[in-house]
Amino acid sequence: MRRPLSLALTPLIALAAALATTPASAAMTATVSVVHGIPKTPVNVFVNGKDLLPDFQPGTVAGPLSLPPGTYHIAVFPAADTAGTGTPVITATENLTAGENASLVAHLTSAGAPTLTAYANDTSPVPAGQARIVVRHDAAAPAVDVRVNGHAAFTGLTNPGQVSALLPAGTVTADVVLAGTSTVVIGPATLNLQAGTETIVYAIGSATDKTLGLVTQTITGLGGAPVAVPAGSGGLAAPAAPATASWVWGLAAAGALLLFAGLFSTIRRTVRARG
Amino acid sequence: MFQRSSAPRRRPLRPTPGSAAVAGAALIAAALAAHAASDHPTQPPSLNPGVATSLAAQSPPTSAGRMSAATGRLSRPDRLAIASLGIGAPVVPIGVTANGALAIPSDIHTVGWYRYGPAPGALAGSVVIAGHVDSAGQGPGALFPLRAITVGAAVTVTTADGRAWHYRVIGRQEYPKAALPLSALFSPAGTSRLTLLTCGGPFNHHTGSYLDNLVVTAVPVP
Repeated sequence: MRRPLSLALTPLIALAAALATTPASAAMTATVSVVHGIPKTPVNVFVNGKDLLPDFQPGTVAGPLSLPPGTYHIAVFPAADTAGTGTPVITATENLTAGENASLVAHLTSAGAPTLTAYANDTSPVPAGQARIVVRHDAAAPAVDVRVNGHAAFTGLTNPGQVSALLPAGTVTADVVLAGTSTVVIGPATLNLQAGTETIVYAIGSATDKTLGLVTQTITGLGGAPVAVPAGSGGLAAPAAPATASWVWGLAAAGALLLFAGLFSTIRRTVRARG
Repeated sequence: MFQRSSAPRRRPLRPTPGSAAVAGAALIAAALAAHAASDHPTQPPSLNPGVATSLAAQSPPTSAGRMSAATGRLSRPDRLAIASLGIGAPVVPIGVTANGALAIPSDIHTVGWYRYGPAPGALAGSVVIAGHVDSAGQGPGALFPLRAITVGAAVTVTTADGRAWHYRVIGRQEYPKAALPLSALFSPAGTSRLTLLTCGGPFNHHTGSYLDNLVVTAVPVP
């Protein structure tokens, strides 16, 4: 699921144009969301030499952006470096393919160094009435367990790993604890999981700096339909069965009478001929 | 007269015993054929076939973001009325059963709104209301008259906040259950529309279920 560093961001120029007019067909473009998971560090995100996300704030999500397939060179600079001429915080290169849905996350490694991780998002349909939840560990923190409604739903998650599950739609309470302990390091947070959506929760920040937190991204329109519509058991609305039966039986009776009369007369004539 | 003079030379006009037997057998055969055909009767003509699915593919006039924002503050359907058919029924929110089928209210006089889909007033997608056509124990249901719907018929959905949402029927189609385009009918995307679902078509007395689903598609009246 996780892809090597480097994601393709964008001709966000095209992006602005795309958003302003008709959205391009999903099959022809890539869909990209950008997540800022490095605390206290507003940045400018340069893509192919253009500052496409100026003053991008920590703990926020940009997009989703519809981008043409291709190779994108990304450089992240501190917000003060508006020209992008200094030393970048992160650089990466990413190839985007048509139809893919990706999230590009600027975050800290488990050791606390800035990095970029590209995740391929699972946009497969979810069953009717359910929601998908995805948790991604993008924090400078050790292995963690994720608890949902008090139960350890995911255990031993490490940076930059991810886990996912399907849950019945509804509101859940989630928190993050150090793996194998009940020491809460993030949360609890209330998540409203709507049917047919995917909620992606990013654990970001640094345990050492006490800046751990959550950022969420939602993908909609994944709702599966019911598998059947069982809407009747009486048979009363079936097309004209009783009416058909009555005239059918009348026809059959008339036929039987004629057949009987014909046979009887034939027999009688035969008998008479013999007599 | 010519006819009169020639008549005595002709055979009597009454059917011969043999031809009566043949005719009788033919009638019985016809009756049997008709009886067999009644198990798969000719369907009433579908009105605007394909409209239910084609609408799902059309882009809504607004972005998905605005759609969900609108959905968030919309009220759930509370009552369905189709005056031309004498249909008036309470509406309750429904989901799916454990096996994923639409959980239509067991009370056949109540219809259900698919609560995981759009509500009336949503800027895109299919508002789905479904009800039993009948039941073996309760007789005809709220949507029993629906198969007689005509294009242009007015449908009103009243939501719990008291607002009335007016729709106009643009299509009526019966699908064999195995061919029901569920994804399109329940899609939260595409043209804003109301989809009414019930059962229809021939009835299988062995399984106690209908072979078809009746789909009525309506669009908001501006």
